[in-house]
Amino acid sequence: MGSTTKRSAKDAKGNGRDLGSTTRRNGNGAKRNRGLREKKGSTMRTDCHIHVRGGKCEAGPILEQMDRLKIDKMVLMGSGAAKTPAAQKKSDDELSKLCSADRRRLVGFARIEPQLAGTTDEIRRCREKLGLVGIKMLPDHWAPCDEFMHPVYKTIEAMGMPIIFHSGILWGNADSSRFCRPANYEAVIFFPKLKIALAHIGWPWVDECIAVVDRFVDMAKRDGRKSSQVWIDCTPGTPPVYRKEALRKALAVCGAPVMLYGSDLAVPGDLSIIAGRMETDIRLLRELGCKQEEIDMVLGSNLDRFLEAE
Amino acid sequence: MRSDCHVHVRGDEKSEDILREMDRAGLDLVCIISSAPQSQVLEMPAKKRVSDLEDMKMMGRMVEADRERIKGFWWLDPTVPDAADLVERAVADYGCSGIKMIPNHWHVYEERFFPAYERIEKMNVPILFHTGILWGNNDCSRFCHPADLEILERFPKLRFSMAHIGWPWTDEGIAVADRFKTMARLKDGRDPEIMKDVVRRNVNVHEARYEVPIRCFGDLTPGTPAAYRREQLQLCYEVLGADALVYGTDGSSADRNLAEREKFHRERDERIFRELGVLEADIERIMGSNVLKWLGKK
Repeated sequence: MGSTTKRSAKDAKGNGRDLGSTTRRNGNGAKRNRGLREKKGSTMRTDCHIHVRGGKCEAGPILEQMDRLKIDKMVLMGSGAAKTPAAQKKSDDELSKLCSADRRRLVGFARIEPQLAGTTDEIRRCREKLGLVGIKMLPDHWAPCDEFMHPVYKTIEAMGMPIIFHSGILWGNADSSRFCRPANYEAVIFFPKLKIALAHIGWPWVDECIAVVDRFVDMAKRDGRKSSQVWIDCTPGTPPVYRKEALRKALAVCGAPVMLYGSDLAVPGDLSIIAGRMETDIRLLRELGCKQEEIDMVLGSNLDRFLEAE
Repeated sequence: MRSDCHVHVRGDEKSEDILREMDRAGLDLVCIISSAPQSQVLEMPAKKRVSDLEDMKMMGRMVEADRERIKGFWWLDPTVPDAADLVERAVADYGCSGIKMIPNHWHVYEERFFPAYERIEKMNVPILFHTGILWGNNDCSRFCHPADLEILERFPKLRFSMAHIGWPWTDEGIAVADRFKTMARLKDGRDPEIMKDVVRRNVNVHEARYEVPIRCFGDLTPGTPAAYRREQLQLCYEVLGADALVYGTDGSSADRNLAEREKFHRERDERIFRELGVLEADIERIMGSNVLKWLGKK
């Protein structure tokens, strides 16, 4: 593939797996530098957790920063939780437009507020009309195990969209952290084709997060699945003093194949912090005895496996 | 300065005996907690002899002898209809310096308690919340999760502490206190590190020039078994910093064995802090003067 204008229909929906192209275009149509993975012998780097702030956000500067930082692919999550169906549509439309500049590298996850009227229709629209690949949700005084979520899960499962769920302490949404405990997410067991990642390793409930993921990893092995239904999004949340121990436990119990790197930064904005944050995690993973291929999975190729439908 | 923010009393202690024991223990200040309210008496019958009002009066008599050194905490059951008025009475009429609460099959975040929180906030006294496993009140521990205290964000001038650092949910307790402190630091905007990268939020947490008023204190009173103590103190100090921690022992009386109890707990914790490389000035704050900030006196 030479440019975004020559993508296959599959890629145009944001499903592309092929990063083998040597030329890309930014949002203005100009030729872009190659992503890191495209260089011979180089390593793919991905970030599963980037927020999109509301307001004007251009793809060009994001892609330029990605080139400079040698990031191949980012999950962009729609701006804040919508209060009305109209606001939900606006957020999804804006995200789709942003990602349309290069859907292989800018992977759109609609930020869905599931209690709004028409949520399941909007999820279908996100996938079928807007080319958004996944869903981001953050329990705000509702619990992921509430029964009202079942039709929502059913729709998302049918659309083949993975979900990144906030889990752990929450600094916004008033007193909402208690709804974000990892064990609440066991409810997805009733939707076996649905794939989710628990953000922030669930901190401060890291052990609980690992226990939940481990349960699903084990189940996947027994059931002969391609991958676990529940993954760990290693995006911080963990204060520095906790980071290494949290990664150690996640690696030891659940394994590198279900761990995703994320940075929790926001666009528009300076993404250069990602470099230092990635370096820190690579150093910690090395100190914990990870092989290079495992590091490359966590910080790179696992994201594509997470995006694959079961 | 040395203080103890968490000592239970029977109610019939004499002030002079408390002060004598404090001197023997080398304590400058002690927070004493009244006995359980009548609504919990069925579960702790041996500990309750008098009415709540009589308890309040007894607390008043105990603190009257030396209000600078003996700080009374009235144990409030917020489910009673006149909870807010009881708060005012305890503070205004009987010189109490704070309110103690143990969630007894109720949740801290229930809206019916908001009037009591508002009154406590208005009286400018802190709440000492039990958090963590509970050995009384039957099956009550699940009501004592630190995350339930996030609701107190709605009362911006209210100071409170999480007793026992929430053990066995210590990480949760740290996360909640970290949230309150980090949000205040972000709002304050002076710390360049936290403004640049909030993930590295603990980098300047020990620098006095970036300190902000603390609302949510970690009460280090045990609860933590010995095997956990060192790790928990380290995590609390690393993440929250010296200004957000207060020290207590959970003693069951203030007029006997205070010195022995203080010696055991204080020596152990101070030794751990020194082994962790904590500065003497920070040890002094944790083991002593921070309680004044919590009480709103500094």
